[in-house]
Amino acid sequence: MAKKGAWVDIVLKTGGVIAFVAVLGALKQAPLPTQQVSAASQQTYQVQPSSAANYDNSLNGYYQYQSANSYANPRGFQTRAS
Amino acid sequence: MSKEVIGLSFHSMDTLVEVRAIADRHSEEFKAALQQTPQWFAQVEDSVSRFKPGTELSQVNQANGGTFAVSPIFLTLMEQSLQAARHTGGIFNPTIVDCLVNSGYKKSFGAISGKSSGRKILSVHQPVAESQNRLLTDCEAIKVDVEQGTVTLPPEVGLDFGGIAKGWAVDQCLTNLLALGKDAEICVNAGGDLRLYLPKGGEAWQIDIQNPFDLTKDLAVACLQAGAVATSSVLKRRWWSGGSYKHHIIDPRTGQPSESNIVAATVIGPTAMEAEVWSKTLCILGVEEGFALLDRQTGWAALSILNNGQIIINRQMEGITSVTDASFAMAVHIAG
Repeated sequence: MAKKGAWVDIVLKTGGVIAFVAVLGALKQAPLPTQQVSAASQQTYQVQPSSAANYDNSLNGYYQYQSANSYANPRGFQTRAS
Repeated sequence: MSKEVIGLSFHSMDTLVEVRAIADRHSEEFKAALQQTPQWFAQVEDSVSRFKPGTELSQVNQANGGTFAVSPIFLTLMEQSLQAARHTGGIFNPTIVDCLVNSGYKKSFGAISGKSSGRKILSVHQPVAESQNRLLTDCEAIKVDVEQGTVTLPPEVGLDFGGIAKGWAVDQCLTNLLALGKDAEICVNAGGDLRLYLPKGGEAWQIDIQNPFDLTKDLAVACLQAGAVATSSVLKRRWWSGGSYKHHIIDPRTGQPSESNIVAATVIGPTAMEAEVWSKTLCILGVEEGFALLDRQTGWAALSILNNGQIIINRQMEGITSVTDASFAMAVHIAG
């Protein structure tokens, strides 16, 4: 019986360690306190589809916008790291 | 009043600058001012570029401390940089130039070489607390005398105005143009750091936010009447050095390129200069600490892209922005 008791003790201790490690892992990967955004329902302005045509980095020098210009939206720009 | 879209684009401050206006067709004065904008950017660059040998900044950095009579541009940027350092608890830091050089960012980006700055640099093995203390102390030790027009630096302290100079140049450019065309819609864009103006009743500016993982695509869009937008990313201006990739956003607490969970941050607020400061600060601090600090300020909207691809925005960003690439999930950060 003493032998069986020792095995039970080992199993319980091992299980305890595994559970402890699992809890630590779960805590480490806990999601950030965030709230999902509901689509673009709160959009204030009409948004055109995102398109590289909204900005044209090949432009150089002074220019006057013409309707035939390659970029569709004169109010369209892109923010990016540079 | 008949309006037309006019613009000007040119290379300056190591980036592409574009000024676009929807303005009175007959305002020759405004058009003349628009054509002067390259000179303005060149003036700022000639004062505070650390890559051009003859600039004021280069001379100050080579002198190893002392008191310098500087131009109004330099003086203003020095003051603004120190103020930004105070607001961000030293996370934005104009004295990290040695850390940049130590990491390999010695020349304008395209021309990085292996030459040394010749000045004392922070050791990569220096304890974090010691590095932080030195950098914060360096900031506090800089003296600005506005009346005399001088800046005093302690020995072994160098300066880099970097993005803050670009943002400030953008802000000043828009202010100058506005003085001549209050009815004009104006956007000044320096490599993705923008300042916008719209008269009452105008149609909003649409600002696409670049996907930092795929630079040929955008992932979100923001619509603005006015204000400024700036983006920083640790995936841009990277280079291979010492067996690993380095980037230009230095964490002053370690003296090393930042390693937070944010890979890119876009900030919207009143000025391009401050938006630049906060986008960089978010990249350094990461989403929890960064948003907590930013949300203690007023009027700043932020969008961050984490290294796992998730987009996190703050409350102020709600209603301004929406995701345009369905492969990205966006969530709102809740303070605390």
